[in-house]
Formats: sequence, C-alpha cells, structure tokens
Amino acid sequence: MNLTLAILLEAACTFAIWSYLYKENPVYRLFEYVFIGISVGHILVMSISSINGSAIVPLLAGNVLYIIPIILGFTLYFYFSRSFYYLYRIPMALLVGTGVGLGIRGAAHSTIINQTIANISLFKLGMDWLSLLKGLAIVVGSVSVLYYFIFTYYVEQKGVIKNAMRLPRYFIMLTFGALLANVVMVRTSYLSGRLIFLWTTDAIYTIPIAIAIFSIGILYDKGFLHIKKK
Amino acid sequence: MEASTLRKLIHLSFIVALSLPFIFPINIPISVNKSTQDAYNTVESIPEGSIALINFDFSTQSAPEVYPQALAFLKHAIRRHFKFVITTFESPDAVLYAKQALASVDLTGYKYGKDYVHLGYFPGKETSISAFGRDVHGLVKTDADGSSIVDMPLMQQIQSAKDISIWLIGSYNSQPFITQIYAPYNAIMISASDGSSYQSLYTYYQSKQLKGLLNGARGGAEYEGLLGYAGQAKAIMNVQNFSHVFFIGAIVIGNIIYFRRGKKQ
Repeated sequence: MNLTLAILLEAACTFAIWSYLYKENPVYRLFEYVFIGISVGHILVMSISSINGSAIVPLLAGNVLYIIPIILGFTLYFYFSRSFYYLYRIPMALLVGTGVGLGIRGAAHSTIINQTIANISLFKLGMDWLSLLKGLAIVVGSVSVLYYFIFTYYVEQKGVIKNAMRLPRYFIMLTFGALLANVVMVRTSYLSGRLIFLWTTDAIYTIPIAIAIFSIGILYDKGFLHIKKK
Repeated sequence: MEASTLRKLIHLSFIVALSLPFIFPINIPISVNKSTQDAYNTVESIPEGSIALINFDFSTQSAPEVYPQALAFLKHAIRRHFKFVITTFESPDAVLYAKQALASVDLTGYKYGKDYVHLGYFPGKETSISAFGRDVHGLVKTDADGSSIVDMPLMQQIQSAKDISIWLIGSYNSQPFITQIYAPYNAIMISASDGSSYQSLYTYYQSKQLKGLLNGARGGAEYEGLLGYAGQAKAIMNVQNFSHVFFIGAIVIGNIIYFRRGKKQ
C-alpha cells in the first residue's frame, strides 16, 4: 500500500465534493473554496510567469518598446478608478479591436467561405444514394435553419410558410437532442475519471472510510445521533 | 417516496452502477470511426523527423476526456520520430498535464531543446495563437521553465506556422486554431475534442479543414486502439458502457412511472 498524502488529499476532495449530492454542507463549501482559491492562485502565477517571460525579460534586455504593452496592461486597472476610468478605455479598445479583427478574418475564411464550398461540393456526378441523402439533409438543414432565423423583415406565418417553418424546428430539435446527449456523456466521462482514480489507485482504501463518514453524517443530519436534553 | 429522496437514490445508484466495471471487468471491443482513422492516417502520412506542434489545452475538469487524447497524440508523435513543441494557449492547468505526459512517455533518443521543447502557457487565447503563427520568436522568449529558447536548435528551425508540418490539437475547442492557423497557412491539423464540442468541430472536419477528429473519450479509446495500447480513454469507455445501460433503464422506468401516474390522474 502506498497511500501518499497526495492520494489521500485527492480522495478527500472527491468525496467532499460528492457530499453535495446529499445536500449542501460545510465540508463541501470548504473544499469548493479551496478549489477556487487554488485555481485562481495557479492562473495568477502562470500569468505573471508568462508576462515575465514575454515582456519583462525582453525589456530588461534592452528592448524598450516592450514598455508600451506593460503600461497598457496596467491601465486596465483604472477600471476601479472613477477619475481615471477613461484611461481604461484605451487598452480595452485595443483588445476589442484586435479580437474583432482577428475573429472576422478567421471566421470569414474558415466558417463562411470554406463551409459554403464544402456544402456545394457535397454533390458529385455518380455519387451513391446514401451520400446523396446525406448531402440533401445537410443542404436542406442549413438553408431551412438559416431561413428560420431571418429577422430582418416580417413574414406572416400562414399556409405553406407556417408549415415550412416546422422543418427547421425539427432540425434544430434534432441538433439540440444530439448536443444534450453528448453533454450528458461528457459529464459521465468526468465522473468516470474520478471513479477510475478511486478504484485503480491506492485511494481504494479510502472508500470504506468515506462510506463510514457519509453514514455518520447522514445519521447525524436525520437526528439519530442527537443527544436529548433532559 | 419523496422526490428529493428519489433523486438521492438515483445519484447513489448511478455511482454504484458506474463502479460495477471495476468489480466485474469487461472489455467491449470498440470499432474505429472514420474521423479517428483519418486522424491516425494523417499523422502516419507525415515524414519521420518532421516538426509537430502538440497543443495541450484543457482544464482539470475536462482532463479525464481530453488528456488521454493529447497523450495519444504525443505517443504517436514520438513513435513517428517527430521533433515537437508543446504549447498551451487557453487553460494554464494544462501545463501541468503536459509535464505529466512528458514524464510518462519514453523519450529515449530525444534531447530537450534539440528534439522537443515545452513552451508552456501564453495568455491571450486567439490573439496569442495568431501571434504565434505569424512570428513564434516575437511571442515566445522562454520555455515552460523560464529558460531562454534563443539557443535551442529546434526553436531556431521554427520561425512561424509555416515551419510546422503538423498540428496536433489536444484541446476541447480547436476552433481558434482553425480560424487563425488553418485559414492563413493552410496547415495540416488534427484535433481532439470533448463530446460537447464534437458536433461543432465536425463541420470543420466535414469541410476538410481538420484532417481528422477524435470524438471525446470514445475517440481517445479508438486512437489508443490504433496505437496498440489500452489507456485511460479505454478505461473510461468501459465505464461509459455501464452508464449507457443505466440511462436507458432510468428513461424506461421514468416513462413507465409517468404514464402510470397519468392514467391514475
């Protein structure tokens, strides 16, 4: 048995968070705060380390231009000042502008142009029936769902249009159904990861201890262990 | 029975059901999807000794799904004798997982700095990815441990995205790489995913912007199978099979109770 402190802590964290399934309790809350604290601390250290490597080190090496992004970075903290709030807008405008510019460039090419080309090129001469059906489903699905989300002019929904509006709704429902099923399976994978840790490492020895602690906690909560005052 | 008690019982029975494969081990064979096979074939088609980028990008929460896929990419890169750099652009947690992965694989014949480099984490997400693609040395000055990369022979060979032969994206969301790296540089790229991002990424695979795509833990298990080992993804799939049975049973029982109540009312 090699029940190290790391394994013990990991198992304790797992069981403490699982205790929420019974009800919210102080142990769960403690471990929740510990988790948030560690995550924030780790991200902070990694970010400082990154800024040090990509800006401070080159600045100290003589590249004085690196002072500009460092100053811009600091001006972000003027968000908390009423008097100098306007300075916060400068780096923010740069961040938003760069983000939007990069996003549009990438999206235009890979999401709009390439996807449209891919949809058009689905149909080829001599293609088999299955590919034809698949292609038709993709094209009809894309066009009908796009039509469903046209808000720029009003179309009165009656007759053929009203019936036609049902088709995209079915496509959207099918997509959401598949998405939801996958999200459930993802969550199961996360749980599986924890179970693999508990059952395949020396953490297995902590399972009976955890069951005992859970049982005492539930009995206490239900009032079986309360001492009655005379 | 009260609704809250029933809910707790379902939670408990779910954990018990998912623990069954550890008590009664089963090994259900997994067929390989075309998107996974394409990912494998793409890596195989790249000449030995080429330069690969392996991106580790996932939080602790999504690690059970994505880490086995990223690890499989790393093992495949080593098997193909690729020189490789490891990066992280989104989740700082993944730096630790990358170190864990490097410690767990056999790096015989590999020399740090000459054959592989762990560059660590760069904040900025999409902006950083774009900057990395345009000018690697403009963004990266030091490796994950803070050592200068200027004198590293491998880093002297990599100036921009054009110098990287294949991008192995071990991330739950590789869309920023597609928009910032595939689009401008026409890079060869394969990607991992978690189950919830697979659908949205599949459109990029279908349009051949991604040359291959792994579908969450299942994709990881398939890739492990192609590489000839059973790792964590395969273990997760064994548990998943029990969860499928549990969910189907719960849906059936729930519907029976619902309709019986409906009749009584």
